[in-house]
Amino acid sequence: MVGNHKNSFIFSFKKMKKFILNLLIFLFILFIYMGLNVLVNFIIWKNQKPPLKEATTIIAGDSHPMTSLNPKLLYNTINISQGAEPYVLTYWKLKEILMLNKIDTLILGFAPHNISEFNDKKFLNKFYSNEMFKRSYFIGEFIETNNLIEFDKKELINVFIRNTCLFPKLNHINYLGNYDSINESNLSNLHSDVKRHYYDKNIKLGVSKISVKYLNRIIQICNKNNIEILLISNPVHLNYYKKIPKMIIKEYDNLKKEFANKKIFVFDRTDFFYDDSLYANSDHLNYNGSIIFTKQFKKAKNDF
Amino acid sequence: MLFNSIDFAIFLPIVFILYWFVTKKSLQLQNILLIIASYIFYGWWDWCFLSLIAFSSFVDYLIGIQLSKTEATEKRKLLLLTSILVNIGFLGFFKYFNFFAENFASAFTLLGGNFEASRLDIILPVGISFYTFQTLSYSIDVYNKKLEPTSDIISFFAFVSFFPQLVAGPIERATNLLPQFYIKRKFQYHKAVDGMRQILWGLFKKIVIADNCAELANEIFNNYSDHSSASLALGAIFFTFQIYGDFSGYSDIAIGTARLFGFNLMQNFSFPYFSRDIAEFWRRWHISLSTWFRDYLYIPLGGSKGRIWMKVKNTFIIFIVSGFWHGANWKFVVWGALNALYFLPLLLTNKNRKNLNTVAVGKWLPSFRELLSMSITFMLTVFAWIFFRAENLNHAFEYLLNLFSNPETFFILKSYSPHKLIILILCVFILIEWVGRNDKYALEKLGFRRNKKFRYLLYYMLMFSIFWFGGKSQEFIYFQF
Repeated sequence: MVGNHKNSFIFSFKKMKKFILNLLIFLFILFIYMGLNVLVNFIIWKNQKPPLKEATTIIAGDSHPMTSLNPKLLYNTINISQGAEPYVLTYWKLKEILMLNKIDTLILGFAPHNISEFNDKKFLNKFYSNEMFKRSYFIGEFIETNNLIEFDKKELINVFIRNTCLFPKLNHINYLGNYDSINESNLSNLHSDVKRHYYDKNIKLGVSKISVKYLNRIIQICNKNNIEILLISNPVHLNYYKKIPKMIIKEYDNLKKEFANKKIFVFDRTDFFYDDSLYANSDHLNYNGSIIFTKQFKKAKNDF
Repeated sequence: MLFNSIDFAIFLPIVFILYWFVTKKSLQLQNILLIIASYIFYGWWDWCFLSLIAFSSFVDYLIGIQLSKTEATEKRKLLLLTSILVNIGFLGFFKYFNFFAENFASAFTLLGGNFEASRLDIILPVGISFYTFQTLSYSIDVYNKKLEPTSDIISFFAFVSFFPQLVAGPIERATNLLPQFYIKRKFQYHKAVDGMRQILWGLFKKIVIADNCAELANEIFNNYSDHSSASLALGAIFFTFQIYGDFSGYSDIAIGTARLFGFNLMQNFSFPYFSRDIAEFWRRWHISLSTWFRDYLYIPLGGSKGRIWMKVKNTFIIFIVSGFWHGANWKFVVWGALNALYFLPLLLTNKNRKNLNTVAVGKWLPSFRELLSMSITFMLTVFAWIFFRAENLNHAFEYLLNLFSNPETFFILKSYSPHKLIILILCVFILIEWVGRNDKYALEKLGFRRNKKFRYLLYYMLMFSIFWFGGKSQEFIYFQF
């Protein structure tokens, strides 16, 4: 009886060993395959140079500079702005670009919504995080900024696996945007845009310390590399402007003064309202609006 | 703890190793380990509600003991009533209190009175509808003398809280699961491999099918007024696959996990969308709940015996109660009633047990007649799911109005093109399910029919598609019930 029990135990143990061994082999092959892909993708990325097409001036920021500054009207300029981009991501982009390129001017979007706290949730919010991680899985300094920026770790892992572990990908530079010309004009989005930029579940958002901190870091990195920095804000619709919380406007004005003291050119046209036909929506310019704005910016820059 | 989380991926191997290596020599120790693991698994959401499970388990354990000591009918009835009151009482309080208070206030106001409903800020404990029904089945079976009451408190607590099926089923019967805690489990290689395979298939259903469909269904249902009829029809179909992938995927993971520990749980889904009529659909959808209601409600009410009005009444009761079980909202009641309406013609014409076997047995393709019956049943189901998915009845009716406002778009292929990838994935999924429709889950026979290389290749492909096509993680739908 005891012998039978012992035999059955040994048999069961052998089966268990076989099960665990097979499972480990299965997972080992999987991890090796994934690990090799990460290595190959990392090498591909390290050997890629951001295609700036010999441009010496770059326009960076979110959808505002993306739609309001037409690089064709400016000398040797490329627009690399991407929708919803927070300053944290612009800073990472810039660091990466400067490692392999030489530029002399940075035109950066600087509008009241850029310093709103809604930017702090870009790596956490389901709506934005996936896209933000897609742009930054190799360039993001997530470990260093762990205590400063809240981010969805699970989503970051998902995006990282999808982009680096499954097969070799020829392009890992997902952080370069372009000028976006919009021909339509539709002002019906006013409420949703104001809500998105300045409110969270109907509670007014404050000033983002992280955004201000990273804006200053961008200025620092420009100074360090002898890059002239120009800050711009395109006109928004009067009805949109009226709904921007006072607290944000106040901090925005303070920052403008601070930058003016540092001799930084700030081309703020937020409250220089255009005709309705020149807006793509309540806070973005359409193609015609961008032509006017780019020309005004060029003139003001020359006069500066 | 979610099955599709990193937490669970760490938790499961730890419990598995402790179970088979550390506590293997003692059945008691293994059961204690399962209780601890189950309480940790549940406590990952909220430790506070563990007391609820413990209390419910303790009450039913005591009632079982008391039932074994008495033959007096009155006393036995009183004991059963206590168990029902405790379990349904918890469920009623946490799940239905606000619903009844609000509806009572509305009815009172309609009659001319002035009554302000006081709403309680109650959090619904995860899985309460599942484990209360499981413990209740024990008391009822002991009362009906179908089951010997247990004196082994550890086995009983492990049975109630068994983590693979604790929060979303299958709702196990004590007659099936409880005795498995009394006997020593032996590690069986094929059972464990089969369990792993079922877990993988469940994860595929949840992460690839359900999560992807959920993103699209949510977008369409939340902004229904911006979509064409074709798009709204797709929204309803996406939800149809979301709920199937989500819930049957959960069941597959639960059953597979239980198999790793040497347990056999009941089958909860049997390819319901290949059903040829609604009666067959309900024999294949959420089997553990349907059979629970059949055995503990429908049959005690008289079942399908008696006159026509009796059949009609019982059918409506069982479907409406089943709908209401899903949540305190009139939309679930309408969903249940709609299914009763679908079912009644079959019952009254004695055709409800016409399709007992699997469709097209031994054939590759169904006949035209079978295809037509499956399509009609599927469409009826999709229509009913609109009520289930909508936020409330108003939302459901508005969705339906928009759905039929420009039906000509149903035939414009371009309307479907933005979703071609997910449609393609769904087609592949349906094909795999069709091939495996005779088994307990689609990949069950893979181990017997194919060689090792082919199997491994398929497993890697499944894992690859989980990583590549996996949608944004969504919570399991049935957690809210």
